[in-house]
Amino acid sequence: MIARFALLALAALAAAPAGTASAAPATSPSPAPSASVPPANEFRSVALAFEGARLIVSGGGVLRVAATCACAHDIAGRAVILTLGPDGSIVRLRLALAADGGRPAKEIPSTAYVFAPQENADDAQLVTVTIDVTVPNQTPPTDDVYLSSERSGWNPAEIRLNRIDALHFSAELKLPAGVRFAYRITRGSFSTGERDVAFQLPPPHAIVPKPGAVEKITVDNWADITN
Amino acid sequence: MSRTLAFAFGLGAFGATLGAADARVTYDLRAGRVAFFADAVALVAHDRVRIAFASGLHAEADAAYADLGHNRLVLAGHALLTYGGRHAGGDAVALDLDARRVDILDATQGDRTTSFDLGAARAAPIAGSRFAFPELEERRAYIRARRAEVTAHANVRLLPANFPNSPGAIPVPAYLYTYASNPSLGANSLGGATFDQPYGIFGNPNQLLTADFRYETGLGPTVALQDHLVDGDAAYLVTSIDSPQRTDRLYALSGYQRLGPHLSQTLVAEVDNLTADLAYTLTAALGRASSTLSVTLEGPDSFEDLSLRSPDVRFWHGWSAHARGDYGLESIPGGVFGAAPDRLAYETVYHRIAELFAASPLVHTPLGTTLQTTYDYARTWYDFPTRYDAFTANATLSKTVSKQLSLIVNYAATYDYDIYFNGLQGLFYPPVNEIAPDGTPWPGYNAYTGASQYRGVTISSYYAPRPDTSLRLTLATAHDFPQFGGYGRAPAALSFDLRLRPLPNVGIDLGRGDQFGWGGQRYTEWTFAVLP
Repeated sequence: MIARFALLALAALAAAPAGTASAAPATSPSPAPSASVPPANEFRSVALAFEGARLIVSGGGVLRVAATCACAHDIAGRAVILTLGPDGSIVRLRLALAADGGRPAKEIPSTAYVFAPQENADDAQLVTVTIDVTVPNQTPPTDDVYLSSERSGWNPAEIRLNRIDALHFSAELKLPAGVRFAYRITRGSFSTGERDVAFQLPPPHAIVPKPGAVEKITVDNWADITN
Repeated sequence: MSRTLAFAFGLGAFGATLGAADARVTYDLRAGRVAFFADAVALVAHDRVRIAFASGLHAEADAAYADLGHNRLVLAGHALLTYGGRHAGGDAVALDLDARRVDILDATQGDRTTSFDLGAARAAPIAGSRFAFPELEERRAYIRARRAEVTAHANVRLLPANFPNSPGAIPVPAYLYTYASNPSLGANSLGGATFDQPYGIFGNPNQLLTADFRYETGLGPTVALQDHLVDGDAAYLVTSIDSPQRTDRLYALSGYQRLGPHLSQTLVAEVDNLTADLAYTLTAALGRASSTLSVTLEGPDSFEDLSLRSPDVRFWHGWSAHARGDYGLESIPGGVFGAAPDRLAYETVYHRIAELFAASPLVHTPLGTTLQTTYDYARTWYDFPTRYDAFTANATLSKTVSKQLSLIVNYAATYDYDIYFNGLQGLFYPPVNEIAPDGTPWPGYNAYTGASQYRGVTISSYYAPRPDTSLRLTLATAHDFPQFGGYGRAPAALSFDLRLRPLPNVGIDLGRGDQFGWGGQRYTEWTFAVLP
């Protein structure tokens, strides 16, 4: 009975997201946009503050609010849909639902800003990146090869790569654009991880994801294969 | 030796304590709702956010976004900062904790910048990246809490921790999530387990102590404590105690140190109440060649080996090859060769190994396939009338059907021969009436006089329709000698491994392997892992 309870507790903990040596969830910060095309004057952003006549949005841009605006007020730190009137001021402001569309904030015309940010804020857009790995000749031919990254606390079997041929493996990852992603290659455990040409522990590979980027890397040696 | 190793474990634990003492919380964030997003490594807090910084700075706002990876904060709505007797506030505030820079944004005045001591502010252009507050979909929150203690560039402790996307998860009073960037924090000195779920206790960028909840075959549910100390890519030391509540608890240690640009050492040790095992390796790179000195102690037995590997040499149409030479000794009380009549004369035996490895280039073959082959031949001589030869050949044929699907066929053959001279072969491989695990005799085993062969074909398909979904199917056949009902490799094996993500924050790795053809016997093994 006690053992069964302990097993249930372990299973429950397993279902809980781990922070140390388990994999982290896939990147998925942004809501799915609506399939329909949003109106040209409707934009989606995160509101930082709303002070009567002005609205500050993510990225620090300050927008004018029309005196007649039908505006939600308790919006700090929340996603909003804002509608611009012909003069560039906000005529409608409401909390956004996940299914709501809205054009990206970076498309807000610069003329609408009282204070415009110098650059667009990174809105954590997900992009697909391909990692191509070349392994050494001595790699056991039936072994799987994995990617281990900081987002899983360096779980050595975080992502299994697809075998392309005897010496090449590949994986497509969805990663937040512009956010540095560090990773290492293993054969499923830390003791079968990659080593550099001098059989030393190498620094992790790193990529700053851009749409469609293809990262080609080579594993010089494996920690457990020295012959 | 047990005492020496126990001292080493104690030293590791002492180091861990020192590391823990250095684990200073950078800021303590409290709010009505705190959501942690592991994929973005970020916190979003709402409802009367209060933040106390280790520097003495205090902050309040309606909402806050903490980008843990870049160590910055955005305070949204009625943001107020207090340091000593000074106050500063605005509609939004951006804090860069590494640069100790504060940007205060006012809807009427624009951006003013100052430092953490809230000295005189000056006007500044609004940098979008400093005030970026990304939209993170609330339902995909990884952990929900009311308080977050952040140690910069290391971890965040969430109190209490609820896991909204893991229906079976138990809310816990505190959960430490590590996002430290040092890969060596993933090193492990614990043995294999059917199930292992680490739970962070405390840590900093260079140290992490975890409790691992495990299920070990033979032991059942148990717990282990494991501590990591890391120094960039230069060194790590992992110490652990498996099942400390049991009398047969296991102490283990795994360490690595870079001694120079071409020299490194590793140490792996295990101690329980019966045995102490230790393996030390010194690896040196000599240009493109390498040399390894290894010392292994397994209870009273010891093994020492010096190995030298040549660089890979390319020759003829992309073929490559390298050679390895080895010199070492084995020392086993009672004799290395147990069947020898004068075995006590051979308690320490020296050996020499010569090995040649060659690989073909990857060549294009008909029907859009590629082929690569490898060959390895090694001969071992001993200071005893014996010799061991091994030859392995591999051929791997691959076909990429589409971007999502590839097929791999591998043929592997190994032939080895354990040869004893001076009429000793019969002593080491005597005729016996071998009984298979299924209870049937196999007279053919008498033909086995030290020469064995292992041949097999493995056919695998890899299918990955989406980044989070992949399936590997593998069929393996083995034609070995000796091999009969239940002895040796299974004549046929079929397995699959499926990885998918049914919930935003929960990935599943499900596998099954079936082995067939052992005189009517069949073995099935399931594997299951949760990949949060």
